[in-house]
Amino acid sequence: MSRIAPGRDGIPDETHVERTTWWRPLLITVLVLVLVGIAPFLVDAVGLGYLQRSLTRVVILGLAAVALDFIVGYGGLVSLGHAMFLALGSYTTGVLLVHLSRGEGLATGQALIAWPLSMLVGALFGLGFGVLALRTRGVYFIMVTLAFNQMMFFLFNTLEPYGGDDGVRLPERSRLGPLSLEADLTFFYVCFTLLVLTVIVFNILIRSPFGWVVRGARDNELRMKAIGARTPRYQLAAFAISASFASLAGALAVNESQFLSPDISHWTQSGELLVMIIVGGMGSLIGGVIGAGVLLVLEELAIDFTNNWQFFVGIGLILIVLVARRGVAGLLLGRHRNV
Amino acid sequence: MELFLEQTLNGLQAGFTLLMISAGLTLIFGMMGVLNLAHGSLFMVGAFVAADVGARTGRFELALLAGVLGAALAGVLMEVLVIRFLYRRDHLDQVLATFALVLIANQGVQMVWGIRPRTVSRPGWLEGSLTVLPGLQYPIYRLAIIGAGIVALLVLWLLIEKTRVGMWIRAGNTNRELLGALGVNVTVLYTVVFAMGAGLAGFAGVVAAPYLTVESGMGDNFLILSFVVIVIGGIGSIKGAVVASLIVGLAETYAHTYLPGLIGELTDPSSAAAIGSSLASASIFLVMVVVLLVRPQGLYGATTTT
Amino acid sequence: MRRLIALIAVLSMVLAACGNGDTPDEAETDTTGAAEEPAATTAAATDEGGEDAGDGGDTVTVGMLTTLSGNAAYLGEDTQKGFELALQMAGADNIELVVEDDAQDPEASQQLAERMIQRDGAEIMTGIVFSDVAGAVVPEILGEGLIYLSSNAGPSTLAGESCHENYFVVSWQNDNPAEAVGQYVKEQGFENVVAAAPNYQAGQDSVNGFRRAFGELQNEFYTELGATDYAQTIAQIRDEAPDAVYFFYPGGMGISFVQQYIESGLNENIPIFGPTFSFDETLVDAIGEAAVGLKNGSFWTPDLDNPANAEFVEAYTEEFGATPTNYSAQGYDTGRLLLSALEAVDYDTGDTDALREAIRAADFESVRGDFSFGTNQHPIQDWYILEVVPGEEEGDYTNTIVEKVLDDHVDAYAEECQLGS
Repeated sequence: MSRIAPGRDGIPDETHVERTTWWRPLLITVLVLVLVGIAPFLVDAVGLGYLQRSLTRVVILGLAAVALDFIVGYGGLVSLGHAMFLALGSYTTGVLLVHLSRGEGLATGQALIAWPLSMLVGALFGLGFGVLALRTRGVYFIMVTLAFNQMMFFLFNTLEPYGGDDGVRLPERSRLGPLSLEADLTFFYVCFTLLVLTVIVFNILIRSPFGWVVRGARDNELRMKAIGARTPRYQLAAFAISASFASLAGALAVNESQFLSPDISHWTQSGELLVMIIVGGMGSLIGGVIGAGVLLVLEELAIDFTNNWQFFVGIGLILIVLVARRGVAGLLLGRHRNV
Repeated sequence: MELFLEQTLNGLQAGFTLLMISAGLTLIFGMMGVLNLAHGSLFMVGAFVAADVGARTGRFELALLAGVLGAALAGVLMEVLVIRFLYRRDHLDQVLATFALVLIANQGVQMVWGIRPRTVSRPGWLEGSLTVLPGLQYPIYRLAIIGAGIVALLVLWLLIEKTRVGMWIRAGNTNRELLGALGVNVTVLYTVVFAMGAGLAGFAGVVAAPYLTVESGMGDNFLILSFVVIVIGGIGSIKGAVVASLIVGLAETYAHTYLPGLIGELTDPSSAAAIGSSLASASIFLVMVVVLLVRPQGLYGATTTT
Repeated sequence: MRRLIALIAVLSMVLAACGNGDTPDEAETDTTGAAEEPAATTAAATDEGGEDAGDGGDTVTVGMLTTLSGNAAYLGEDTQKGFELALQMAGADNIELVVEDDAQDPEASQQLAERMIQRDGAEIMTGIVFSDVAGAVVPEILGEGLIYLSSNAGPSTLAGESCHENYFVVSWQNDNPAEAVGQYVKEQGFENVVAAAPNYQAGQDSVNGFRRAFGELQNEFYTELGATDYAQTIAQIRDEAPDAVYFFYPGGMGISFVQQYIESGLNENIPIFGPTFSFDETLVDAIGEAAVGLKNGSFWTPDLDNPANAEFVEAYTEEFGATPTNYSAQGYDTGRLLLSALEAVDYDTGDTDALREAIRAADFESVRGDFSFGTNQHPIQDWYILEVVPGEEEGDYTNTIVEKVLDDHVDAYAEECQLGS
């Protein structure tokens, strides 16, 4: 199997885009974020207030998709196991909250402790699984990450003290410093702020020397090695960083639903994150947010018209893959550039 | 001892079911380079078609035939409409497009056959149990599944080793350009191989169906297990698929049998039983990790296909 | 130019999203199980939402979140049929029923419940079949200040300390059916018994309930929820060689377990006992001849002798052309209880305290005869051992009462609940 060749498969050639229209990705990113930021008021204004919580989910899964896009779109490492990192974040934060409600030790409702801890746990597991999974490449990597995902799914199912496969309800959300997150709108803006920070962090990363090596390894690992870059270490670091941010999304997700359940680590959740990236536009970071928005909001609205939503998602997805590989962001960013 | 024997038979039965799915998957991957996430859906389609025909005719034999043909036909449709365009694409495209096929298939069977789960009945002449050993009765149908797995394997082996098509398959596995040079119509050959793999998955679906609920998504877990099989066995290797399927089938069964007891030493029996059954499901992935650490290319894989 | 297109595309995405929702009236309330929807349905397009409801004398919107897909779909369908039959027979046309399929997915169900409450204006909720769904969704419903009437799931986690004044269980506490069977198996003189159940809340509740009535078990086996190949469990049972087997496999799992158990030949020496959930009228028909003679524990059968039950069974059979299951009976009783309470408060759901009191009074004729609520608002009722017998027609099977094993039975968690005091 040849590694993914530069440009051939529609992955945007970042340097090229940057040179000609450096402002365009930036503009789209800002525009999308602003739209998401005012969305709660938009939906409220048109009497769709019940979509409020869906919007929060868009933000949270969008955050995870941005993190995944970093290794898939820029690193060329197709992970079909990111749902397990979501779950690791959920369980880290959720377990601390469950302990709090039961009056057991090792408990905190403080987001400033729980969320960074979730990211740390995600990063550590990312390193562990990364070391193993990165022994393989290409299609093996996909299958191995999927298998790890399924293994973690089974393990989360065994956590009897935390509801086993039933899951367990969390009586309250984390507190952010002195700020209560019980109000849905407050919680939305906390998530939104974290999303903006995440987008900024990854935008800086891909433009840094680190990001340059990661992209270089995607395009031509041999060449990168030839010029002395230790690509495996960079790829491992990228994988762990991505895992860590996915875990942050998991920590937010469990706060959103107030329900700790192994279902979040189901393999189809991993698949859906990939779908979000491809729908929104891979290798654009903000595409993940667009994809999450398109999928979740359309689904919420489609429920009233069809029960066969997934069927149409499937057909749409195939068309996107075969015809419009660069997704919504690709359309926004301009003509497909074949290099 | 009887317990061990009975669980060994159960493990073999699970292993051979898995083999019928993985063999096709690894064959298709080895030859066409496509990772087909929708392979488990073909297993499901086979079961659904069989359930339908079985309910109409009351004949298991007809249901089996229809299930295999139905899955093969679904496979041909898949190949011609979607997968054919993926041969030259990267793995991400393959994963996404075939993931889409999974969504379509899972919803599609509900659109065609409704949301109610269905069942496939065992044929009357395979009902009941056989006394395998004194004190150990074993269901005839489960023995038949093992037999069917062995027969399917033999047929596949004969096909690949002794026929012209098999020669092309072997040639295509090592060198795709060679096929064109031989004057083989590669497009048709790919469709035929894909249909074979699909038919085999459908066969597994029908045969396993009497012990499963025929419902949407029933193939998903089998798909993931067959990935584990392929990672352990090595991509493209039928021999690897055979060995790995049996390892996975037996390992899971033994783990389910003996893990709860071992954990029972540590905690109360009730939670031990619950924890043990979940850990057992995770145990086969441990086997995979070990193989990855020792032999990343799989037991019978060629050097890493990077 | 390109910038303009980009802008329009993004905006239109959002507008499309908003535009659709402007007219929620077009969206028929979807029951997902539409193909099986009973004729008596009162589910209709939602009106202007819940803002105006609850002011007394108005239409009352009831949200029914139940399982209408997957291999347990008939559990929810029968619940819905029973509930709607109760409304139909009472001629209650000022109750609006909104039905959604929970797909046995706890997390998605939370979202559905939220939609039903916020958008459709549900004022009272009911219908959840599975305990894991109930565990996730019920606290959310109660958190919104609504009353929840459980027509099926009665998990232990919500029965004791965590009981709630707005939470009523009309069916039973999860442990009860198992306690009835445990009592019977003990009385029959069996000593070494093993248990098998799916690995989830209700499965563990059930085994615990059996143990509470019976005593210590020789061993217990848990299988993955929804898995239907029981070869490994059966091998372990054979190895344990017990006197009897207690099993809890509701719905389609029950068909598979009983069939495979019989296929293994074990039933010749080791009898199996279970709660009614593996022996309801739908399942015994599917299992067929092999089910005859199997004993199970229940609070109700179609031939239970009281006027309310006779009326119910006749009307149900006529309406749907099938013998009612226990789920139908539970749905029916839930509907009747709700009607009695709403009558008492003149359909004014604004005063939750009054409505709650009216429900607690349980002033209705239950199909199971005696019915009242205990301190934790779970039923106090009698329990029976049933036996599967051939029905009136060829290939038709039903249950008949063998004996009453528990009289005015109160669940084990009632004393932990502080509501009554």
